[in-house]
Amino acid sequence: MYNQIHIYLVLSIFMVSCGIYGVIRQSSLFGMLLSAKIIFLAAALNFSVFNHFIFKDKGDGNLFSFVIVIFSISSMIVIASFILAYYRDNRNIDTDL
Amino acid sequence: MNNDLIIIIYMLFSVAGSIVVVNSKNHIHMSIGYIAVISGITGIMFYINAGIIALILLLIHTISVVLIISFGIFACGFQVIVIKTKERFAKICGFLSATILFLVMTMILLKNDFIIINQMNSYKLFGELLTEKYFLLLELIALSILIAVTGSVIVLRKRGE
Repeated sequence: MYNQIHIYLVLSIFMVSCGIYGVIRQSSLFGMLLSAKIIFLAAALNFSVFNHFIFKDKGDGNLFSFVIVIFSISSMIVIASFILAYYRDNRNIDTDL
Repeated sequence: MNNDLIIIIYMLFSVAGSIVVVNSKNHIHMSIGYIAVISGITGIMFYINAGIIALILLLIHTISVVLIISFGIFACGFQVIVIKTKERFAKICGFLSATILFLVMTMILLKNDFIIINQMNSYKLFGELLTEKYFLLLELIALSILIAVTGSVIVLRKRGE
């Protein structure tokens, strides 16, 4: 089972769906941020899985997975600082206001 | 069989963590769910020969999530956060869009057969690609992290300083 590509791809599709549902459903900015990061993780997993199963003689998939992870971390830094600044002004990070 | 079991456990971690992150209303629970997702994905990455990505996920993502947990505790003042729920319409729309996306993508995926090439992967290849073919990308990554950190410090600076 662990040698089949479909298993991993179904997992990543599930995670993308969960992330989209979370971005729409969550009313907290942190919930939205973490849901978006789940989508990023699913994309990174997809790149690595395709590199492992289909393009084993190349390392580009792993490299782009690396890039996705690093960019998601830098975006997380910026968004977390924005949320913190918003919280400092309004004492609330609810989006239902 | 053992490998199957381990992969199933990692996948369960990822799925359960995603569901917790999406459905929880408490920041601490969300962060714990996200750590579960990272754990599962890290294990899977180790199994598919992407050890360096798994290492980055473990080191950097876990630290960032610990920071988020500390902020959550900080923000809520050691109280459990109860957030007003969104309207029912938004919840139904989100659930429907996620379900339709999952079903359509799974159907497309299962109709395709992938050709698998059996050759070995190596870290040396990764390093060569990073320092030769995609060196500009590496510089761009470093610049983006620098800008992100500087920007966050500027945003969080108290007014009047």
